[in-house]
Amino acid sequence: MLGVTLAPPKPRGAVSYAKLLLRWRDAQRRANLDLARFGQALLALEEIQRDPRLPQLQRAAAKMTGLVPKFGDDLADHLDTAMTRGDSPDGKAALREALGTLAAYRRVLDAVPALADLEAVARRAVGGDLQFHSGLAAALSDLEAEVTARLR
Amino acid sequence: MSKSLSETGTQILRILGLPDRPGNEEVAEQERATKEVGYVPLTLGGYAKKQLMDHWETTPTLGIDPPGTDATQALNLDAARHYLRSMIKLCSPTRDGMETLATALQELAEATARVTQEIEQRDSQRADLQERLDTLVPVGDTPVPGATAAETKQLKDARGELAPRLPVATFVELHDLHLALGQLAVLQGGIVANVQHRLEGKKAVEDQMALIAVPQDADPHCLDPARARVAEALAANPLSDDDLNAAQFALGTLRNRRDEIEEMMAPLRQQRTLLRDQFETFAKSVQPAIKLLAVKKQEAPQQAIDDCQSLFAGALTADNMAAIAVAFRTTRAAIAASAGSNTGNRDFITAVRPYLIAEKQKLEAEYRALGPDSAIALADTKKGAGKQFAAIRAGIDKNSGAGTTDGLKALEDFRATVDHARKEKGEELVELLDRKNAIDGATPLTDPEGVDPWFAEHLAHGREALAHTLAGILARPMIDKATLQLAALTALWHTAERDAKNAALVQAARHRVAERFPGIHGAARPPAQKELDRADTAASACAALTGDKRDMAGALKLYRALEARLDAISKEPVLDQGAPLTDKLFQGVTGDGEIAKQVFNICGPALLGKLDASARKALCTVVSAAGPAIGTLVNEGLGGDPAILDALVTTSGADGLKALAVSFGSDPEARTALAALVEQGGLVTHPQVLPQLLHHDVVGPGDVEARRTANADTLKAMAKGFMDDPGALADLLDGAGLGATSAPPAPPVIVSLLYTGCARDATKLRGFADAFAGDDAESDRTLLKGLVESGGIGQHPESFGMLVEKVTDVSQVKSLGTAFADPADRARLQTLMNNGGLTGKTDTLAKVFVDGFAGDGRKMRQYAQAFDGHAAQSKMMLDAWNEPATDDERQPGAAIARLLGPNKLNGNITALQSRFTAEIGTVANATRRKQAIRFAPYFDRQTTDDSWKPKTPAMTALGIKTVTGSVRRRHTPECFDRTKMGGAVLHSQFPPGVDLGALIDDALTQIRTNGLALAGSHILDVGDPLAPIEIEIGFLDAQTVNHFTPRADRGLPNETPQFQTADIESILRAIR
Repeated sequence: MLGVTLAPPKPRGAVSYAKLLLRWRDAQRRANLDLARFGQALLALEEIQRDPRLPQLQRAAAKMTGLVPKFGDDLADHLDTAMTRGDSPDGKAALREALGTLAAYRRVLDAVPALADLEAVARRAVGGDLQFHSGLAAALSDLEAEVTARLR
Repeated sequence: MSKSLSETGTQILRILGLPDRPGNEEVAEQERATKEVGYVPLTLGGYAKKQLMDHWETTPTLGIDPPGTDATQALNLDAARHYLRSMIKLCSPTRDGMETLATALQELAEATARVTQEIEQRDSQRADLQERLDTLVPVGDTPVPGATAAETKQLKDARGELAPRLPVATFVELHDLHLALGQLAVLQGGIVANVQHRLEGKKAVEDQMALIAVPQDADPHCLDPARARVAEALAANPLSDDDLNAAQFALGTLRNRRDEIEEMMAPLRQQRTLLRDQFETFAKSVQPAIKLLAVKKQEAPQQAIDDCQSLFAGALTADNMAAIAVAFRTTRAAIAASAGSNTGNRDFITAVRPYLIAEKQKLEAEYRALGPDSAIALADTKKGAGKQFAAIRAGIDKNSGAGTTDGLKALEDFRATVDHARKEKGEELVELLDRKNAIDGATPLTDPEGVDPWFAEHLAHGREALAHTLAGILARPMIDKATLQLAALTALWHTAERDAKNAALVQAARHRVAERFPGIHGAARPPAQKELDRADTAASACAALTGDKRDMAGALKLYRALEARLDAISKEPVLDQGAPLTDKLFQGVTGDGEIAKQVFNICGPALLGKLDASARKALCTVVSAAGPAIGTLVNEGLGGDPAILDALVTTSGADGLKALAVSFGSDPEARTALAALVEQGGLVTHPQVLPQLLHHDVVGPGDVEARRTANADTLKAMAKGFMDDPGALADLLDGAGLGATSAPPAPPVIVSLLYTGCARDATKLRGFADAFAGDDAESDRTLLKGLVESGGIGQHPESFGMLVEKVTDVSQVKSLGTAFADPADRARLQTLMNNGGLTGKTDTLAKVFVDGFAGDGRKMRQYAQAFDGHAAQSKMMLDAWNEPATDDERQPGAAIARLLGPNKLNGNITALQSRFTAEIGTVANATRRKQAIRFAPYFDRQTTDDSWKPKTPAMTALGIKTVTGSVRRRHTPECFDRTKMGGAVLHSQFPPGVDLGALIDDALTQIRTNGLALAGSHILDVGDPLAPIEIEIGFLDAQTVNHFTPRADRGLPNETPQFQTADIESILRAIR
């Protein structure tokens, strides 16, 4: 981008980092919650009640609640370091590591395609804004954008 | 409500990867059951179950045999499978039926697990046995260095027979192989012992060969060929019994050769002496004459004399003797030649004439001896000789230079004739004649002055026999016999001469004694009178001996002793009978003067003068109480012997004297028996014996008086026990050395023998004495005396009593003496007695000898030889075994026997030092080293498995099914398995022989009583409550104890050492 002068990074406070983390944790909680809700709604459907595979579907509903992967605390650790060290080289390094972690989270999420498939079936069967996959994917995109911006 | 499949449901099940058809769950279960042996679903429907059962029935394996399964195990597994199949056929597809099938499947699984475990154990045992086989018969050309080809073949064949069986052996076969290896160990041990025996035999032959010296004057190399044959036989490698026998045979040949040469040397020596005498006479005769010759003329005869002389310095061989004879002739010829060329030298002629005359006479005599009486025809020789002899005489008669020259020439001619005659009759005759003449000349014709008739008679017999022999045909055997007879006659003559001289001295002494005795005897104290009577009787009796028992030397000795005692007694100061207590001998003694008189009479001034005031006072006290009895004992029992009485009073004190007197007081027969022991039983020669026997253990706390009385009674029984043969005791005290006291001061060995060895039993003592009595046992007595004097027994007499007490037969005591006949071996034993721990406790020697070596003296000698120069190692070993507090726990002999057992040192006593103490000494810590010495004899290769401990109530109550074999393999020396040490640092051991099962039951009972969990581990005290062992018990699961170990290094008794890995390695090296 020749001829364009880059603006200096805006100073960010601790609160903004905390919001980023909250955004990610909310997305995970909602995905789990929506899956549980869908399970209950699914088993209440008449077609399901009539289905001779009801016991299997009951076990399936139970299984769904465990589908959201456990992402761990690496992202929180990196953001915590970035929050403490600010714009120092250590802070920058922590942000870069946060970016790497976000990429890894995305790969973990993509490894569970059942979440996106279930989300589609759920919207069709019971309706509503159920977010098993899309909420998590959107949160990851937002976080990547934020962190990238702070690195500039 | 009708059932139908929902689309949403199907999608969700598919998304989640779950079966989307009804019944899929049962199928999955069925599939699982067909894949997992032992999994039996109980919730399937009947059809599914039936299908599953059909599947099982047609499945070929139902579990595969574990790798390494042998035929028996495979049969067991097949049986389990067969049972399962039977159940499959019999059971209905109901819940009960499936449960039955589950049990059958479980049994199959357990059978398979069992087989797997057995295979592990079997492989472990195979490895152990393989290791043992490799140790016993290592792969290679010489499994036992020094073994013969046949022995090596035996070992290799045995290995060849066992080795292929090991890798494929079943449990049962392993047991057989274990036994076979035991037999192989015995075989290998025997071969090791054979090798050792042969090496010892080789050493013995070498030692004996070194003692065989070349006879004096013989060719130094004359024995070399015979010696080389011995060396050649011994050089065989490996050395076989045949080689050793050949060496011993060659040694015999060497001895024979030496004897032959020695025998050959005798006549040669005689011949040389004869020739030398002749030559020296000749040289002495003619050398003055040679000096009268012109200087130039002296050279030839003098050179001939010198040459001849130098030949005498050569080796004593037949060839040399012949050369000397030739040289002698040459010398004489040179003289004759010199005489011929000096007929004008009157002085020379005058000087030579005596020689000519003397030689003529000598040759004439010799010629006569050879000629007229000989059976050999000398007619031709006679004729020539007559002329020659006449020519000599004519030459002499002329008394002129020419006549002397002619005479000398004729003399040499005549000598040649005599030589010729000698050759015809054989030169031997000359030699024999010379010897006969010598014998004649040396025969003593008269008896020594004052000879005893017995000797005179025997001398006459000797002369007669000699004359008879010499009257026979002149031959070598006759002369040899006569030589021996002359030697015997001469020896007898000298003995008779000494005897006659001694008899004269005895006679004189008798006269003197006869004059002095009555006066001195009459004035003497009663014991002194008794003593003089005894001495007089003994001297008279000895002087009265006749015939071959006549002993004038002994009689003279006794008379001299009697005279000395007469002198001493005559000089004894006399007690003031009116005021005895004022005598300085009774200074400080108050009371009855009559008692003082009695004490004086009994003891005499010499003994009283040696005692201090308190001792004299004590004597007065006991004499006051038992004066008559003491007097009777001293006079009758002790025969008034002052030395014994002195020793009694100074060693046993007045109380001892009294106790002895009281014991013998009422028994005249016992006093007579004691008197016999004094006279003939050696008590006089060893005056300390009786007092030491009386004083035994009469010190220290307790009822001393009772012990003293008991001792006195024992001595009374002993005296009576030897009444019929008091000499048997003398044989022990003198012949076997048991009456001597050794330095540092120790009581005579007889004390320990009586009180410990024979447990105070006089009959046993007599039995022991009989075994060493008489002429037949003289050698045994001498050998035992050797042990006492230089084998350490004298310095440690208590050890001997213990040994006699422990042996099963007196022959074992004799075997010890026989084995230590060599002074060098006795010195070794003495060193071990002093510094090698053999007397660490008084019973150590006895236990080592009897328990360790089965009472075999030869093995004890091997032990002494093995530890020669290593006394400290012997002490280290024996002290460790002697450390326990009680006699029962201290078993050094049993420990040695265990170490020498077939699984360990295989009877190799030398290895006790070279391997055992050398290796065990490497244990760094002193305490653990002693523990290692104590535990090593118990380390064994007993096999064990998880079924070693039978079910007990303690186990059943807790539901314990198994106590694993690893407990024993890790913590008991008997079953210790080095391969199970793993990486553990400590290897704590239970005491050998402990009832491990009982300890475990004790622990389990405590666990149950205290409600402890059957998991993890617990620390408890088990065993004897007074000496508990702290253990740690652990569980593999609620049914299995797999850990049971002593926790601390508990000391003696029942010690539980915590060995380190290096300690264990040292122990195992030390014993294998």
